[in-house]
Amino acid sequence: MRFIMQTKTLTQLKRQIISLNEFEKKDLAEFLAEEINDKEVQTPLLTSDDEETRQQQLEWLKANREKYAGKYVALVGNKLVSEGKTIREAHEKAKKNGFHNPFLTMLYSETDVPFGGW
Amino acid sequence: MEHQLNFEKLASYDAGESGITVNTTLKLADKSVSFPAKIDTGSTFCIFERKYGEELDLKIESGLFQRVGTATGIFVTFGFRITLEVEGFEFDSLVYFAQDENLRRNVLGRRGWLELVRIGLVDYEGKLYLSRYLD
Repeated sequence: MRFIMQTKTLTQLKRQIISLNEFEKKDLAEFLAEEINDKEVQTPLLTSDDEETRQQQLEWLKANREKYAGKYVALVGNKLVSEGKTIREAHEKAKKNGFHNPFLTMLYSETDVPFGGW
Repeated sequence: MEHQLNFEKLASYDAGESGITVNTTLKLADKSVSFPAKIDTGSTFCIFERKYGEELDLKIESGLFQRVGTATGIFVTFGFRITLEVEGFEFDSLVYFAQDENLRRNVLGRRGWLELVRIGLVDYEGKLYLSRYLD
């Protein structure tokens, strides 16, 4: 039912768009392009990996912590898709490589003693 | 010059309590455990009591070994990939559990939580504004 209503609304919109002049159509096209682009960019930093993948990633972090100590890594499954000095840098690189929602974390050397607060 | 931020959620906390305390849930497979944790911008990691990890059936010493420093000394933690939920927002994060069962602190630090959210704080009113970071 919901799908039928959406289709009907879309058909009505298309009919209205036909009556727009060229300038208005171009303006609308730019608006839609921005809307689509915003949706792609606003990907929450949230993954939903299964338990097996989480375990594989934990093993990857253990095996590679010294190599990437002091850097952020972006993992998809148990594959490294990017790295960076900041979470933003690692995420941007991952997105450029086509991975919008990787697991991101910073690695520390086993000898590091980061501050734990309180 | 004014700056404006918009947030998805407003959470109230008890301003009379020690620290800024928020509802926190850890999830792994079909298990979950909830408890209050304090926001700690000075903490590198999200660190929780050992017992909460054990309630998720984690073998604590099988996690990612990590020593952590405080003003008074060093303690050992172990990291795990789990789902962290704070005030309704969920993240798959690397969080740490204290090896020492006598360590009774639960903190939400930078890695795994603060870096994944936007927060606004009005401590005078006990108000915490919260959103997931959208890049």
